[in-house]
Amino acid sequence: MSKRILIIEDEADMQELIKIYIAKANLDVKIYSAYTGEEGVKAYKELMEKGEKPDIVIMDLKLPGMDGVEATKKIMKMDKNATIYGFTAFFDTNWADELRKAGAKDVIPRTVGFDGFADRLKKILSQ
Amino acid sequence: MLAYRWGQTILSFLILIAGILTKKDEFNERLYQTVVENANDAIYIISTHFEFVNPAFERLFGYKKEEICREDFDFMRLVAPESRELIRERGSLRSEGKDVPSRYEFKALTKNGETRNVEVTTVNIGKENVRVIGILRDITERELTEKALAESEEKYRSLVEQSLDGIFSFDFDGKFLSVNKAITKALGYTKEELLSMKIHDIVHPEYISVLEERLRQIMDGGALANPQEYVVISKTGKRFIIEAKAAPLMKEGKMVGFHAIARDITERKRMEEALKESEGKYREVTENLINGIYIFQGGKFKFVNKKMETLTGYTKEELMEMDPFSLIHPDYREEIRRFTEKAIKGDTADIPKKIEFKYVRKNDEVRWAEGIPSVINYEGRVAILGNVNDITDVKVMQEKEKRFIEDTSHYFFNPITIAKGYLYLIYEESSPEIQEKLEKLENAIHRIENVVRNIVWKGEIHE
Repeated sequence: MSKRILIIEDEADMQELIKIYIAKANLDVKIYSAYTGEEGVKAYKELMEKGEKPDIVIMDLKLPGMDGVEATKKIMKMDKNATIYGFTAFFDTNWADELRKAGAKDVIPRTVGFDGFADRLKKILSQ
Repeated sequence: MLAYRWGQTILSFLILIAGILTKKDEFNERLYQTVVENANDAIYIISTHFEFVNPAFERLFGYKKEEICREDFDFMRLVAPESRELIRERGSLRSEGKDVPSRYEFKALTKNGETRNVEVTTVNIGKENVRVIGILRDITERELTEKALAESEEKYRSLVEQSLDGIFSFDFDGKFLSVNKAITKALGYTKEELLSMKIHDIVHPEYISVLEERLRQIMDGGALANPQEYVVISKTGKRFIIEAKAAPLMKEGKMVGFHAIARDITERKRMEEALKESEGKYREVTENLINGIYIFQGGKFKFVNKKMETLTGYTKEELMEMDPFSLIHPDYREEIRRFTEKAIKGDTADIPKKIEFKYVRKNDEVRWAEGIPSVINYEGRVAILGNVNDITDVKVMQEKEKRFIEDTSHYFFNPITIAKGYLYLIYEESSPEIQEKLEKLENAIHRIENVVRNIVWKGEIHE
């Protein structure tokens, strides 16, 4: 059965590349996209209510409006078992630490590239 | 004095009794019987043997009248061994017609062997066959009381003399009636000198009116619970600060002056002044510190320095009245209240060495502060001493720096990541010639990436 991934990322190119590389890695996943923090929180809620809670949330930090830290807090408040991973260029900054404190399992740096990201996702999904 | 008066009265009484006995009329006989039989003092008539003893005599010695008033009763049985010589001597002198004191004391011996101190007053009656009429008073208890009183007086005198406090008395004119050693030692006058002086001679002129007012209050019966401070001058002109308390001096139920106790508090006052001066310096330093300083106790500020006014926009008076926690931004208020209240109760485990928090000024402006709380003992109770510093400017700088790093990361790394993402996708589908060019492109992107990383993380511009 396909795993559900919710990608909260404001750049359309990033959304597209994530999808391409996930497809290239032959991961059996269903991808949902949100382009702002607010949209991401709303999407998570709706999926939860439909009984289709995302298995993983990929969270950007810098988002228009509600940032990744706030969005993570709100999702964690809604679902304390939510699995959230940051995927951000702000690796090794205080902001990334705040994301962890808000409840993110880890932060994947964008410097690993999309292949690296897809590998990491594969490992997470297999856990 | 009282014993002498009593002796004179008894003597007069005995002379009266003797007169009655010699006149022998019926009225006098009844009078004699009533007085003598009911007397509290032991009365006897003795010649060669006891001719008469009254009931009080029987009670004193424990013998019955019938046992005593016998020709074969040796009156020495009534005298304790240590006084027998004295009594024999008196008897001999009397029988020789010589004068003996009419009143004297000796130790009597009761039937049950108890010794009593007695005072006897005697009168001879008759010219031939001289008889002696005597009256005895048991003075054992009186002597014990007098001894106890003398001992008590001695103890009191000793205490007064040895006291480190000055103890003295003076009459209504201020003339000293008594002074102890502490006074003479402190003032440098001899006891005789002081006893010829007045209290006004040693009290500093500026304090005379206070002294007189206090004495007037005592005379009016006012309660003077608190001691009064005076400045007194010694013989050499040295000034002392004393703390003195006076009370009425009573004699035979009448107030005759004042007695007082005084303590030299010159050194204590000097220390207090030094402490006040030291506190003043400390306060001045505290007031002018660039940090806000406060002492928190019992839910209120007990002290705030000037800087606290600048930081909060409230006056000192307002700060001392208000709830200190209302200054703290709601985001931090409960956390700070929790560890503060725990620390006040003695649990300092949660009290941080340093804490950053937001505070709200009187004009509702929200600013950042850094606080260093510590637990202290203030006026005998646990309190929190706080040292606060406004760090808003630092926070703004940090925020700008953070924003710069984040923006740099966002605006450089995201496009680079996207560029590389698409580059690798094209690379896989390209001919070797194109791939060679793409590798050069990738290398160029790497170089840009390295430069940006060094700028953001190291503040240095190089590849």
